[in-house]
Amino acid sequence: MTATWHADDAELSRYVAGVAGAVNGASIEQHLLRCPVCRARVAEYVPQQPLEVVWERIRRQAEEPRPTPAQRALVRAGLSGSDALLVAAAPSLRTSWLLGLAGTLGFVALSVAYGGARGLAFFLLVAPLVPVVGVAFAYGPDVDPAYEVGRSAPYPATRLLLLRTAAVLATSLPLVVATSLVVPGLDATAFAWLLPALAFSAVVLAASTWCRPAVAATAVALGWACAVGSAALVRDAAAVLTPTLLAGYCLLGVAAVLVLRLRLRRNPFSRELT
Amino acid sequence: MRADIASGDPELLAAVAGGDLGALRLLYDRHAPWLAVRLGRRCNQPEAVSDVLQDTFLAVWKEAARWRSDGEVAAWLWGIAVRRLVSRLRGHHEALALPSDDVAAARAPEPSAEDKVLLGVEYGDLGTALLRLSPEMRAVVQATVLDGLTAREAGRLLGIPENTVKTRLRRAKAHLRLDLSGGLT
Repeated sequence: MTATWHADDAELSRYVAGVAGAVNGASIEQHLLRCPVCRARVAEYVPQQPLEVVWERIRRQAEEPRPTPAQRALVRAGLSGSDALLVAAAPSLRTSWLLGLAGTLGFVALSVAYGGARGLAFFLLVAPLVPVVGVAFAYGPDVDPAYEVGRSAPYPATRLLLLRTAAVLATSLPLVVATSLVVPGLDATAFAWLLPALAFSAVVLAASTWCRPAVAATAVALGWACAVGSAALVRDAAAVLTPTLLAGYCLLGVAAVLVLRLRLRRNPFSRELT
Repeated sequence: MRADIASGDPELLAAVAGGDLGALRLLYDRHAPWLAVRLGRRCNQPEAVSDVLQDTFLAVWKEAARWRSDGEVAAWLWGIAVRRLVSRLRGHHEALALPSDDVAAARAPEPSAEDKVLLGVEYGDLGTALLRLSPEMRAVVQATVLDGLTAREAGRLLGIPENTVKTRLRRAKAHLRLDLSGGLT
């Protein structure tokens, strides 16, 4: 692609000055596309200073971290860029979390399919805790690299908490639901676990106005494990999902949401989230 | 791969795709000057030219992987730059200050491979023939044939309807053909 012909100096300087005329100008432009030598010669006629200014702007923008796929998806879903950045920084939205979740669920599905009653107990133990753990790891000093930034930025902590909770539920619940649907023999259990899951998530949110979300989630998980474990020992793990208890989970969830609202209203700024 | 001053443009692009800002700087040094001049010939607002230059190289930074290693990197860069210019100037046609006339919006076929023939001719007789075109027709020929814009993009750049671009281009080609076959002299 090397050209043997080159534009002469006078022609090039007239071109750069904008006085080469339409035809000569067009001719030079076509030549420049193919000729590195003449491109370099054009550069000698172009003042360097304005180009440096533009380069500085390019460099500054190029060095900003590129948005992750999660951020881009959130922006497409209608969040502003800064909201998307903060939401996507939640540890429970990272690829590693989702991969871990998928692995756990695959294991659960296998155990339910081949493990009989014990497998069912295992499913009941794990499924409702997935969103709870996700919510716990969506916010807080233990887990969030952006936590200090978030605390010092004039950004409502409540908004961040709720946005992230919504994002976590939106990513983890469908995965668990999908798992429960492909596993045979779960019937109503495949959906009944959603009630304790949502109730416990609300409890963790409400409790996080007093203590760290991870602590609240641990307490909830221990309690739930005891309940499922004892039910499985005594009779049948599905006993934790009797209609009476399901109504109880509903009440628990509603109560937790009310407590959360009350706590947030009384203390609307970020102190309530330790 | 480490790109340096001796690397060719495709190697630099590959390095840019791998996140090498130094390679982007080398590309910028090589191509920003002529791009700035060429953009400046199409737009008389220096700050718009700067913005377009910035957009272009940021697009290269993000999309370098899209470069399919055929043809000239320079032509690819110009393709990005002139389209950024089109979208930047949408609605700001005072920057171009080209007169528009009321050519009847006749249906014309899409610009064809014939345009490429025009391009391939080294400017001999064609040069003088081009000079005899009216400025409006020359602007259309420049935008479509030389700058590689579609009729719609050229219309946006020049602030005229797409059909007018096609009509003028068709007329310009007829003129040139007649002129080159000795009909006008």
